Amino acid sequence: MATEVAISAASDRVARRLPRLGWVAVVCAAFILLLVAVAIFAPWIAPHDPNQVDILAAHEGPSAQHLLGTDSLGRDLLSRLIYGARLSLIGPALIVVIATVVGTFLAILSAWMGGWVDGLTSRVLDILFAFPGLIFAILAVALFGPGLMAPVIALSIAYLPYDARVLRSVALRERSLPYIEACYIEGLPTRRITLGHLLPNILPFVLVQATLSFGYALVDLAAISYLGLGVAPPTPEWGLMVANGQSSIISGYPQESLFAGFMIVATVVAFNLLGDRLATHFSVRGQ
Amino acid sequence: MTTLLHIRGLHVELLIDGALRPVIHDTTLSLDEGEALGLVGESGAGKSITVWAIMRLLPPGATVTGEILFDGAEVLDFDREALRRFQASDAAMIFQDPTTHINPVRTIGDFLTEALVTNNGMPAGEAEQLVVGILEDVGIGDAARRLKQYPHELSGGLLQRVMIAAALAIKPRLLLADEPTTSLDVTTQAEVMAILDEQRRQRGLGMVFVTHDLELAAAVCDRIAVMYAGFVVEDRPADSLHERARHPYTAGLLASRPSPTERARRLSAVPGRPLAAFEVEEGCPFASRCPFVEERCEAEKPQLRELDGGRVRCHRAEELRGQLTSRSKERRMADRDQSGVTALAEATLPAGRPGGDEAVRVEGLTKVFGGRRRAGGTTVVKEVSFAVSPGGALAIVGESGSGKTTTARMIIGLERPTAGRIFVGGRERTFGRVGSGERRRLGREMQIVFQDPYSSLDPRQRVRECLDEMLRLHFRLDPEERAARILELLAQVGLDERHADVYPRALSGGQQQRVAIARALASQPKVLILDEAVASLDVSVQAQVLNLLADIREQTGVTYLFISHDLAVVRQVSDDVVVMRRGKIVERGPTDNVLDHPEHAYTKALLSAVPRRGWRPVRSRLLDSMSADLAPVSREEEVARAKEAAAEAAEPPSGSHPG
Repeated sequence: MATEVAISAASDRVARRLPRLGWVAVVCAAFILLLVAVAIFAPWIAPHDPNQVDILAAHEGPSAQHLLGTDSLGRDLLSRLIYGARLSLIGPALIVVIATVVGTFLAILSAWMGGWVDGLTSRVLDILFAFPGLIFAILAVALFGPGLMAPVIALSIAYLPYDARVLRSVALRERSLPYIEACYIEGLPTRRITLGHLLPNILPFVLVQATLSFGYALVDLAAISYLGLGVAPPTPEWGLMVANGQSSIISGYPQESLFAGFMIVATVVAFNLLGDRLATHFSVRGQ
Repeated sequence: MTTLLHIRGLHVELLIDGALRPVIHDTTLSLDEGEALGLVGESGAGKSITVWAIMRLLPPGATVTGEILFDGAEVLDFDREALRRFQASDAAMIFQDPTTHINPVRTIGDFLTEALVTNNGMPAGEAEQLVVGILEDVGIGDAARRLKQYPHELSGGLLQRVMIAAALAIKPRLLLADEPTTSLDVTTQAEVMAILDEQRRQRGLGMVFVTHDLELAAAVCDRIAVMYAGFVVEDRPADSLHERARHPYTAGLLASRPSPTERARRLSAVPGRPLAAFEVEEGCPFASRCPFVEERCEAEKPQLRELDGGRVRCHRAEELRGQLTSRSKERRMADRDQSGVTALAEATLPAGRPGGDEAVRVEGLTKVFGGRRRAGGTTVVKEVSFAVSPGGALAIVGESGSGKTTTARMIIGLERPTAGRIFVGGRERTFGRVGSGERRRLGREMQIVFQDPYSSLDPRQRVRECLDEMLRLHFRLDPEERAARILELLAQVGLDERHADVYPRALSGGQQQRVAIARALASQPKVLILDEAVASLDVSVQAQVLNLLADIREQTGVTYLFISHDLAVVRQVSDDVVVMRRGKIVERGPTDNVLDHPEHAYTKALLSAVPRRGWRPVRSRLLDSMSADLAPVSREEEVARAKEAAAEAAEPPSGSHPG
């Protein structure tokens, strides 16, 4: 029967969808998952205590004992990178979660209500746009003292308008589609239309937006740590390690800054590439 | 006559979902100098791909085998230079959507002269003169002014004429027209087709005309090739197509399309949906839908062979000779019978008479978009009043910009009227912030089916979940009762359990529209608004859905409010009709009366523009002025026209509204 052919052809089309993201996206996703696993299982993976000082072993090159060598205090660099993944990833993750959750909420609210509600939120977001994220974060640190939370909250607020504005336009487009109008005509409660129909259909775009923001958030947080305004030493954190290793570069020991910098770059690139591929994938599907 | 184009054994594969899949199988066609060949078929038939292959416009990754001979030279072997010459001066293409094929930031003049100046080395002044002449040929009078305008300042019909002019300007020998009028209104289509036909004949050009509309192709082409799933299934002179259709699919297509002049009791729909070329397996591609299928058809692929002055790809073509024609004759007999009965029944059923028991009544409905203050704003619907009695079927017919969809959206509550009142089941409908309780109550009174079936279903909801949600919303039923009701609803729209647990994208367009109808029926509404609900479906599927709508009305007694631009469809489904033009009702009455004896010039123009048997596109002065009316060409002209209209004392200005 013709109908059966249609159904089976389409379901195998769906099954082949994920691998069609392309190998770049798959590699990036694998790298990110690996990083997360490393961060979670740091105590079991790290060969040394990241804070164990051994002045005699300072600035050692790579060896069997220290795979990536040691820093100026003789701490094992590999272990510090592994433990550093924890704070370096959790900060941006918090920012992204707060910014996208609130952003998605505002986007749906604006798109659904329209009128003055939309006008008001859009203007408030415009005002937030005026604050550069980094300066906002530095201001927050100046007010509340250094640590992880002050810059995280400041950057969440700074990232909010970007997420909200992009998602608002997606939600507006989706809202105007006949299936949402059909729900409205049927008499479904507003909560059910927005959360049960609108939200699931903009979720792919939320995911893309979150992935792309993650990279920027990581760079911004690392910059704040580098400036000494984020978490305090000796806590292992990549941005902090770049700053810490800087003084040793002149003495001919660039490895600490180099390795930490590499981790920052690699992670950001992985997130951006993945986000980019997801965006392409979903926009192609949308047509 | 010499052969201009000869295609032999053409086989094309394209990259679809990451795999090379066939889209054209073994196609052999030829076109003489000055001849017009209509390539007709439903979606996935491969008709556009054939034209792209001729023009060498297939996407990268396509594999093409076979021969395409243009004037004896193999097009597939052309090198860069030969291909450029071929595309620049031998063959010209006219696309479906002119707005996407004309650069929006360049003027019409630039667009028209560019090819002449850069490719043929013509001096700019000479090129402009030539182009002005051609614009006049295609019925664009004030050419000098048009050349300075930008694409957005021209209406769709005018732009398509510009595209035709551009094709003619390079003095080609072959015209390839890919659905050139599909996105146009029916009156504009008649205009554009008349011009294209006339210019082609005058210049003696060969033309391949791709369309899904068999009657339109038959009207302007010498020969028709019907394609199905990548195969040419029949190829025959246009004038003998109706009498001598020898392929069951051709006969099915002819019978599927409702006629604007007579109502059929039932359309003889081809079952199933059109197959894509890559879904064809062993045997005849049409076997899965053919009413005359036998063992041989499923085992052995038929060849295209000569029969009765044409070519046909069917094993049983000889035996079916009598049966295919007698079937359509039978239908015509039945139609005549039926139309007599309905005409009688409707004589006792006057439209729009005030009374308390109407299913829907609107009074003085007006909608102005934009312009909050006294001045400004576009009046899209102006003082529209009508009523539908319970169980009746009223069609609102009109072209784009007539306000018919806006009217429907106001009745269903998606737009707020600027003025006027709407009564649903005797109760006045309120607007503004309507709570979900009131919406739910109205949802049991009235539902809507939209034009595009895919976007009217939530892509992340299975069919069963979608229907279940509506049943839970409207009725207190336990899960078993709901499950049973879901199957009932699916059966009512001609689907079954297999379709319940899939996502909408796994269904064909026709099946999606059936699901949308099932959802609309879930709340057991008294009124169903069908907003161009069959307009985007393939002809054979459209006939199925029209039959389905007739069945549903018979079973449930639901009232239909049918919004359509298609008079043939309107004739098929409605008892009464309201003709709208530029926001106002120009004519109303029982459908058969209005369509048989139209009184208003606009209704007459609409009717005469519908392609049907024996029809020819004609350029009419009346239509010319009216289509110009409908499409403002420039800001100052629009203002001038508004002032002019205001001067007509009783008639305040009412602008036109796109979409």
